[in-house]
Amino acid sequence: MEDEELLREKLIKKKALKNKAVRTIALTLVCITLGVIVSFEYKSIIQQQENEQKQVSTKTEAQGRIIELIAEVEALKQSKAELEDKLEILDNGTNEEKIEKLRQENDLLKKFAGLTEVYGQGIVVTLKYDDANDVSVSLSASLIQSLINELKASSAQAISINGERILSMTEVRAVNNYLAVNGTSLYAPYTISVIGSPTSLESSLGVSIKPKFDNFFATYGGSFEVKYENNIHISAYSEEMIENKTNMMFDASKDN
Amino acid sequence: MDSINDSDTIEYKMKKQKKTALIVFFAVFVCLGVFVAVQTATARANDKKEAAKQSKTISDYQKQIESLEEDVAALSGEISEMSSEYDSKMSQLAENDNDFFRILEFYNSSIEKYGFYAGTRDVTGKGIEISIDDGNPTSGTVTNYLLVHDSTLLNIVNALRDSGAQAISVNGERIVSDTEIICMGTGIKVNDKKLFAPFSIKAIGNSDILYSDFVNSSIYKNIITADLLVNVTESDAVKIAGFTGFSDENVKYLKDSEDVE
Repeated sequence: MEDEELLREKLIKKKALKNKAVRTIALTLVCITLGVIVSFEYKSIIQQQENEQKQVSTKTEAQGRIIELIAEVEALKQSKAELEDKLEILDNGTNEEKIEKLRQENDLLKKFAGLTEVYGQGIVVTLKYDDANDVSVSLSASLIQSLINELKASSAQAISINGERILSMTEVRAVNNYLAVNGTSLYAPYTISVIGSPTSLESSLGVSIKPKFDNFFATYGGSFEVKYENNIHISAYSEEMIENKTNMMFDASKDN
Repeated sequence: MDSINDSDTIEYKMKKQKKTALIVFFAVFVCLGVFVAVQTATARANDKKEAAKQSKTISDYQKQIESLEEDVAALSGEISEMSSEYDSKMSQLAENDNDFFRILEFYNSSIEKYGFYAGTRDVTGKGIEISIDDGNPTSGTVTNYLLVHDSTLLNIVNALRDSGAQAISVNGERIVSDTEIICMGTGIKVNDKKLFAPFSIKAIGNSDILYSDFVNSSIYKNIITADLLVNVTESDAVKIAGFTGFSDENVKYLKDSEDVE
């Protein structure tokens, strides 16, 4: 009896062991399958990301090409319009009328380049400092740059600081306690003359710039004043000097 | 008897365990199956959708590129015809009315010169090109911190002016004497045109100075700190287009003499 019982117990234990082994193997298999699936999934996600990146880069290339082409079309349209004007002048009117048209265009461009003295309505902004030192002048340089930008965004067509004409490439840079403008040293106080529509000029300053200057002068001492004027005079930039400002580039339509 | 009963219960327990194990396995496999099926299905659907979307936009771009290239070809043709017409008329004039021809030539070259100074003509030279784009948002939402602002562009342009740039453009818009750089909704207004990131800023001048000044500037440091995407390259042949919007409107407030009232 006892033997039989022992045998049976052994048998049961054996069965239990077998069951356990089967379970372990099954679990292992499940885990391996899971692992394989996960790794496949991961791989395909990475591949998808790579594909997306590739497509993004071809897209960016295409966008870049489109931007280039749009610029090219724009430039060609302008050349075409210029030629049309030239032909129109050649084909129509008397010689005097032809010359008059060219002279007008010439003068407009010269004015736009800042090479003629100009008059007009506008505003005069005065910046007075209680103490124009390295700190106050260098901090106000960036304020003056934003002021100039706001004026251009409004209706300014000619600007000068202490008589120095602001051209397209004019820098306003603080050096110690003065400003370098067109390479000229300008000391405080600063008088900024602006020709444009006076009402739009003044309202453009009120929104963002005047409060900034008021804050600045509240800390550093001084004043920001804006005055309307009917007859502002802004002198020309010299033609000799502008040659130095354009001597490192060439007209693209001429073969250099 | 007791032991038999015991072994019976053990056997019964084992059977129960086996059953539970089977059920658990079954559940796990069903879950796995469903999971795999769903994953594959969505992956396929996504792939298809993405592919459709991408190929559509890319072919759209391709179409746009083709039509623009056609425009370029057509315009170039017209221009070469017109310029040969102009040249022949001028050479005729040179023969028939040389005095008048010389006056025309004088004004034409003077107009070119002032256009060159004013920034209405295309120019070339050594210089640098800066590309700048909004940063990649890591949190998934675009914050103000990661955007290229009008002040960013204005500061770059001013830094380039400081380094002696002789011509500058932003996305093809030439910086002229009355150019503004100002925020306008989601874009930035330059020469009254609304521009969007990515921005490409070109500058002609002493390319070594432009490059080294810029990468050592405080604005460049700020751009890097703000995690914007920026790239600067020096080039021997930068081409900058002229300002295309010039008309007498640009100088309408500028008079030649004092008002007499």
